[in-house]
Amino acid sequence: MKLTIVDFLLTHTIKSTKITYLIIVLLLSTIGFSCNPFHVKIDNTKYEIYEYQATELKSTNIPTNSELNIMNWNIRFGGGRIGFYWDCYGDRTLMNQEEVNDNMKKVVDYIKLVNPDILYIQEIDINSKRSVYMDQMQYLLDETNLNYGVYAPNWKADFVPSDGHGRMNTGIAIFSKWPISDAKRIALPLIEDQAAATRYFYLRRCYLQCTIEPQDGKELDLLNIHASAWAQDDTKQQQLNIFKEAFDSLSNEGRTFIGGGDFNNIPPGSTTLTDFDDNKNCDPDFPPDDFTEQIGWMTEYYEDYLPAVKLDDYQANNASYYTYTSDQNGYWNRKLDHLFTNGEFVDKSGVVHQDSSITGVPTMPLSDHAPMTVIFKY
Amino acid sequence: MINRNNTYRLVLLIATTIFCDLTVNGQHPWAGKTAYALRGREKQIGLFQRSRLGIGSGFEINTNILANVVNPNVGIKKQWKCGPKLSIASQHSISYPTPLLKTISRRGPGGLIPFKTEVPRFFNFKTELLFSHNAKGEFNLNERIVFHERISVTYSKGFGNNTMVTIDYPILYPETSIYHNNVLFDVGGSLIINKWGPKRKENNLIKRVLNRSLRFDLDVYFLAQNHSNVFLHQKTFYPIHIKSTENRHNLYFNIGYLATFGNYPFGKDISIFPMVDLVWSKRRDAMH
Repeated sequence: MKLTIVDFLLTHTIKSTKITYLIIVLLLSTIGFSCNPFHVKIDNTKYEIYEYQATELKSTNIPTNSELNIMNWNIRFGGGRIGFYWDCYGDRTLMNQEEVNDNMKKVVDYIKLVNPDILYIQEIDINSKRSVYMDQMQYLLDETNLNYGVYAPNWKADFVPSDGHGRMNTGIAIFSKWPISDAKRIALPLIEDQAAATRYFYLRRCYLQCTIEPQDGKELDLLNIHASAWAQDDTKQQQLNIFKEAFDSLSNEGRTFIGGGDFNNIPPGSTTLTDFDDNKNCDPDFPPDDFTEQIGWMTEYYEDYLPAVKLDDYQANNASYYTYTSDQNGYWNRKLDHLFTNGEFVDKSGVVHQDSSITGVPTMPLSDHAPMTVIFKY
Repeated sequence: MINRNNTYRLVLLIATTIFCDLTVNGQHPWAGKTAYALRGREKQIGLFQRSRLGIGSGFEINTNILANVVNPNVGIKKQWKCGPKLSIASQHSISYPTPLLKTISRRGPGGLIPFKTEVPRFFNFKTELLFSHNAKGEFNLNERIVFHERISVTYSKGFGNNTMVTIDYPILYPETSIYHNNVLFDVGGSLIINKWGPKRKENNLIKRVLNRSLRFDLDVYFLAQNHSNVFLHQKTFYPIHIKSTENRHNLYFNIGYLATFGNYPFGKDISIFPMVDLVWSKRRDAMH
């Protein structure tokens, strides 16, 4: 019976070569649609903003003393201190389930200790093979006192056919105890001096902007960035300039903001610019940090806005505010993470959690970046 | 001047397509995965798909020539029955994919699995049962409608330590997951519609080459140790057929797509990929 129907259709329905052409067009269209077979593109559309909410919302009060506890941390996608191939200390690409669970538990335990009202995160995975496809956004929301989160990918591909990465979806996020609105992803310039194949699959940096309203009528804009590492051209400078322009734009509109993240750049007045002691025996594809030509790129941030760590304090003692080292057996040796506002931070409240002195828990094993916190006067 | 990015995308598209074809054992509009074995001295040379040589008595040997460099492979097909309504054949093949797996365990581009992965010496054994029949009765590949069904089981045996991870890309996952599951089942079917459209002699060359046949394939894969994971591959090919004047030489340029669906380690996914191929065949005598 089925054959008869098919035969009937062929004999009576398909009587025109127009059908032939239609099928050809459909086939070619299919090929056209699949010209991005690895889905590496990330658009600045609402579809590239992932909005999250804790499975069970925790009660939140209007902030006491009109102060907000702000935390910034590059959590290294739960990689802890595993030696990955892009570091100068390892050859790993992927983690196993036990490693991810263990490292992420330590990360959320630390965040719970700090109990931030607003949290800026860089390098968080939501569906990546390297972190066993853990949705770290949801995990972090469900395991801390934070209720809402927004995520913007800066490296997303169905399959990265390089170094065994496989599926990748990693990015930056902002968490809050209060509802988040108007989240948007703003693309930043791509590194120009890479081979085409590398560039096609490489990170597409962005910054993330959103708004919260802890008290009625008092909106606060939040901006998070993770600027390029290893850029040999002026891409990172362009990215930092664009982020700074976003600050300026909000200020000109009379809006209050807190902007921060992993800038991959050091403050003016840093005493060490190159030859960091954790940068020996690095892979040529991942050259050691050298800020000799980049030392002025953060100057305008520090001049125009209030940093969590004032420049005078930093220049008096660089080492107390370092936030990064790739060598877990060494010590923090450069400051790559920053927080700024056009509002007001409580004086001297900006600290870097370099060891166990603040919470009683050592931070060196948790990530290659140290968390930093500051109190914002709301 | 051609944009460098566009050039790269084109190269990437072609490379992806080649890799897809190499990996999923693409099918030929005629004899691939049908119960039809080439007759003695007949041959088909596929650019990316299996090349075949008829050796008589219903036997045919086949191999993917390009893949042999990194994945030595050979198969033999035996046509057991060639009846008026039904033909039956079996195909048995063996391959040694270890060099390929070691090649893709590398730093940088092409590293589908992490470098320093320990890859055992794998031997894959595949047995297929193939059935072909058509609507009009007599077995003839030039009938307007031809159906094929197949069932296969692939067994993979590894010797040595295995630290491989799965390759979680939809077109690769089912067939490469046997290195963790050992056994893969495939049940599939094909519908080939030949000479569809109006029956008239076309003087227009474009109309003539377009007005030939269309092939729809559906394969369902089951992993032996994880029955809940079912993977569907649906391919549609349009073979553009160019014949020599005496009909002894045939060239097919196949275009089409592969749609995949399944429950992968990262979750359920549906994807679509382009496919192209070039197949040349030579017949002992003209069938048309």
